[in-house]
Amino acid sequence: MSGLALIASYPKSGNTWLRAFLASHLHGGQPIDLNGDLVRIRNVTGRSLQDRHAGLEHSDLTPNEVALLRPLSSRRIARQQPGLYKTHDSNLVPPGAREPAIPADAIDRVVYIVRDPRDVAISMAHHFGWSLAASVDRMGDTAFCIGLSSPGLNMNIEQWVSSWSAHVESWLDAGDLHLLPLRYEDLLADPPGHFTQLCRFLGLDDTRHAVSRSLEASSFTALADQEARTGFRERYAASTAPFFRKGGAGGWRGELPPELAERVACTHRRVMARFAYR
Amino acid sequence: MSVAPLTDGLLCGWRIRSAIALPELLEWQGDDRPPDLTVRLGDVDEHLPEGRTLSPFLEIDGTGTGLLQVPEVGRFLVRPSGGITIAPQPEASAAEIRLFLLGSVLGLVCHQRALLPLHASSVVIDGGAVAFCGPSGMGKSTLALRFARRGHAVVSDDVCVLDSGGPARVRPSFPRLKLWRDAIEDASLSPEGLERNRRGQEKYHFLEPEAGVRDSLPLRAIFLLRRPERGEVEGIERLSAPLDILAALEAETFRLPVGRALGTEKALFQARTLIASTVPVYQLRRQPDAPPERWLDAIAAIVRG
Amino acid sequence: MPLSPNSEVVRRPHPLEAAIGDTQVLLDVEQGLYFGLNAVASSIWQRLEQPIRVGDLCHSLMAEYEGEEARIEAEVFAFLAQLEAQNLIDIRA
Repeated sequence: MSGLALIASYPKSGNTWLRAFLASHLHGGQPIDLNGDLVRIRNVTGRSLQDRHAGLEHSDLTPNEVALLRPLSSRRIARQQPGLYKTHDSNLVPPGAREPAIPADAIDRVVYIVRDPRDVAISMAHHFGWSLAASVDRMGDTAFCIGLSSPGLNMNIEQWVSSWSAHVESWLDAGDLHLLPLRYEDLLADPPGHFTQLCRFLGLDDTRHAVSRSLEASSFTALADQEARTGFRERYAASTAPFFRKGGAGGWRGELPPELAERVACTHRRVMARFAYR
Repeated sequence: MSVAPLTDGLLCGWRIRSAIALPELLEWQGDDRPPDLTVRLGDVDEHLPEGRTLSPFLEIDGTGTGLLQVPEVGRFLVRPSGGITIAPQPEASAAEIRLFLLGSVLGLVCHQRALLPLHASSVVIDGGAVAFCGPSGMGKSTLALRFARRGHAVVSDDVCVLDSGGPARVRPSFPRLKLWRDAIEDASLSPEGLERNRRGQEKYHFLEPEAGVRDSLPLRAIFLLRRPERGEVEGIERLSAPLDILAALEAETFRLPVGRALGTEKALFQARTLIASTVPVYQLRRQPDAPPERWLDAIAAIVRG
Repeated sequence: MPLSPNSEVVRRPHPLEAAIGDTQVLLDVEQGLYFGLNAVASSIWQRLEQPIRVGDLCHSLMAEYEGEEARIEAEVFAFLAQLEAQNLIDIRA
């Protein structure tokens, strides 16, 4: 593999599930330790990784400077430390920068996960400790960033996520990428089928036995049980629910007030139609 | 530009003459030698003619001259002779310029002079310097702040400069700590009136101006701050395997690739092996968001033996 | 290069070295790798400063350390193979 193989998604769209699966799969389907083994698929925006490749501390830079620096660092990571990484970056050129944070020439291939934005809205609200309305607002905000350090240091650096629709389109319509799009709902409906496809795309063992073993090790119950026992380091401090909360599809029907569901459907109509989110 | 005459400052034992005020530094009170470092304002070209890119914002040429470019702060041309020229961006604040002059540029100066800069905050305990190393967010500056509040002088933040030759000694830099709002408030202090690290940022420069250290100090101990991995408990443990210590000191070297590019491996290796054979190195495993207070007595007790 | 008692071995130039306690530490600057040698390994290393025949090396070690000839020889061969694998010595037939 030359360059970065990315597991990309808007936040709360199933990225951690795929990482858990891959963390197990890379070790022959072994059970995984949530707090130890997920680093096998590191976040490309992890602060120490980025600081090391940039040769300085991002905590001394402004968001504009980080936006200028990131493509340069991405190329260095692709050259010196190629492999599998997760990211929530959009594939857009941030204001003030000249190229996306992860330019196409640093990328080997991309798995892009898309999830019904109404389920994302609920999951984001729980994760960040926001109201549902705030969550829906952020998903429509093209200036939405994560990884901001305030009032203390964030263990990730700044990522420009943009709105849900812009995020999805920025990756899926890029044209210059070797890309595998996956719907979260399809992953849930037929795990063996879609995870086999994932393994094949990433050049990993795609035999039925191997895939089902890793799926078992990363099943929602296995992950949620472990979080209940030992906690999960990546859970956000302000979260109002466990990280592994429900992991289902269509939960919004019971939890999202109709006017908010309507607002999501209205804001993201075009992209939702592409994925048959009705 | 008219500049009021500034008195020379003391930085890591060097006499520094600067066209910009450096309130972090003690005044030079040593002999009347010419300045070791001179900071001027002036034009700086975008590239070094024979430079090669070492990291995205840094070029080095064959003579050991370095050029640091921070987009919204300015260009810093750093010659091995000690001449430093700064071309600031018009919107850069004085604190932002000093942040890079007393950080990245200081690291470059150390490597040009074949001195080992550790990425560490350090304070005086029992007459010697005690250094705290570790990844960003592990609480280096926070621990230093807590010791400072107990009356311990601050020797360095970010860049802790080891003297050449034995025994292992630290050249004090300045008593300024870079702290996020949460660390300041957790220590029952207020960021009000403090300079911001960068415009709009919730990170501030906390200065203990009366608490500066003038002369070099013996390095008494190094604490490597780590998060406990699975199966590990919080605690302090001395490293014993020489290779582990050397690997840790290499990882904690400030701007390591600069030293490599300038060919100072031998001096850095000697400095690291001197530390590994004469200075105790401990791993302090703690949750970074846990209160630091409970570790202060344990650290002081270990240092005092 | 296969190792025999008649092979000549010598250190490759310029790893940095220092003693830390009982351990001799080498840094191969080119590879950026550290190596630690215990007391016996370090006494072999000292003998490799000038080219030396492997047979002569074993004899000089037998004079210093008690032990069966076959065992010392086996350990020396294994250690030299490691040094060569790490690019720290040259072996000439």
